[in-house]
Amino acid sequence: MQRIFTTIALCLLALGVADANEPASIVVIVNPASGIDKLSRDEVIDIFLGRYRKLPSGRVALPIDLANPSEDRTRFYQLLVNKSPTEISSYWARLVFSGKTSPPYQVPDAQTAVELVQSNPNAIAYVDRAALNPGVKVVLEIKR
Amino acid sequence: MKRKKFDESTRLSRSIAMALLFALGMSAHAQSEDLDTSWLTVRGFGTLAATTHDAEGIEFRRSMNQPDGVREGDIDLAVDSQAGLQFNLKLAPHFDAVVQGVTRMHPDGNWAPRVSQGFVRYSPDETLVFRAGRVGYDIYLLAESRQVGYSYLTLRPSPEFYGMVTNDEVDGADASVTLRVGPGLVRARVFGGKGSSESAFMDGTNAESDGRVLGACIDYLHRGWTARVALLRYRFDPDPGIAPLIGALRATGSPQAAAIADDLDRNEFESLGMQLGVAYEDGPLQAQLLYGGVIGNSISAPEFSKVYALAGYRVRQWTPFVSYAASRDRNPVRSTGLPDIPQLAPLEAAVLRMQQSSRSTQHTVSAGARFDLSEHIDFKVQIDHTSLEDSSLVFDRRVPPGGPASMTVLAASIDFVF
Repeated sequence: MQRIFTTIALCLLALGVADANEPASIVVIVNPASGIDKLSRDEVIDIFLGRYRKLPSGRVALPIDLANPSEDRTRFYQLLVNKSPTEISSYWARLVFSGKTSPPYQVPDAQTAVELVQSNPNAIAYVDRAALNPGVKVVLEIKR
Repeated sequence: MKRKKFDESTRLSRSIAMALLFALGMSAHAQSEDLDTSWLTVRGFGTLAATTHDAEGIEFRRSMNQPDGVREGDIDLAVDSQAGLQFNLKLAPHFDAVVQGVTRMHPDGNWAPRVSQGFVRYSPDETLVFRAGRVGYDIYLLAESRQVGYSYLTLRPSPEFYGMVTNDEVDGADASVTLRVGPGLVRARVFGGKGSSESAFMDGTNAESDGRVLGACIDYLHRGWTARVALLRYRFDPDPGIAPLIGALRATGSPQAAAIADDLDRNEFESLGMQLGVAYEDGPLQAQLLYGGVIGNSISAPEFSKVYALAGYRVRQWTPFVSYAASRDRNPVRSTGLPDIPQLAPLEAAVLRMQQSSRSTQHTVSAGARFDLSEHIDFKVQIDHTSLEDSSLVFDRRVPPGGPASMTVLAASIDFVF
């Protein structure tokens, strides 16, 4: 019996270690003056894939992407649409060379993304939850 | 169809001038909201491909507007290769302009770059978009251009489904609106303008028919699903050079020949096209299913039905795929019914040649794989087994030509974008 408890304890410990190593979730953020409190997953897909760039409040949505290489960017698109960076690049090649729309504006890092969202009520970005600050509002959390 | 030199520069400059006037007229209403302040973006794309096949006497080409094909056993670098450059200019808030030039094998045999898109776009709120100039239209389910190999899975667009399309753009305008309907989006688009269809023939000639294009398209998008219904009307002028043939057919006194003369004697020819399509992309899976049909009001215009199915599944950087495509002419080739005597043989031959130049009964089973080398470069390999029944998509140089044949095409390519 002692051995069983020890095994269970070790398993739980292992799970705990795994959880601690699990990266924090990706959150979609907007400016507090954007007029929205939440977005659905479909709405975020449509904004970041250039299909419909309008917030439910009526504002034009200005999506912000992290420039490659970025683990957060890879994770965001993997969690959102299960697409790799190359598939996203191929997707944008269809639209860009059709002259239909432009890909999201790219910034070098999460801090710049947060600063842009803080200063522009139309901006929308995604960051690791750890990069959040009080000047932005979370409208969707994307988990695996 | 007129066989003449393509006067592209005049038509294009007129279109761009109209588009700029449109932009200047509307710019007073524009407001700035953009994050990106750069006024010029330059992008490019290209495909370098090697293609070969095994069918004796047949020249393989990917579309009706290619004047040269791949001969049996040759390794050809021209049929599937192309490159393009695109400039995006910000003219004013909510206004931008796009100019795209593409170099590829043109119907007259040269590779000089041509403007494939050149328009001004006005989008007040990203849901409403107006474009004026030279614009692409909705022939392809997921994009407006078939020239960007990096943007699609297969090595080339299906010849059966897209090979008969000889006009990729219109000099005119389009308008599209996107609305949220339930969890998905509905996008409606209308377009119209002048279009020119260019074809190349086995005898080394090429033809351009000027016409007027009007079309509409409705898409429904939800997550990985895209569904489409598209309609297109193309009206084109008769070839003035056809008048002697019409006169000669009537002069024979044969009712069957006279009926063909009446069919050809029109002020305007019309082709109507329809496309239904559905695409699904979810994670590693990609699939497409399309049906298209074209009907015409004369024997000089093609009438056919076509289907296309594609499925691919990504495994790490590899995406193997399989596809099936078929095109079938709706009507048999009509004969003049004239007696088989040498004096009348040229008339019968001219009528048959006219119809045979737009036949497309063939089907292809394909398999291949795409390997993504980086976010901007891929490598593809593809093998196609095509069964030819009665098709001018290939050049049939067998003696005598015609009759069923099968062909295995092997190709490898590198696509890039920047």
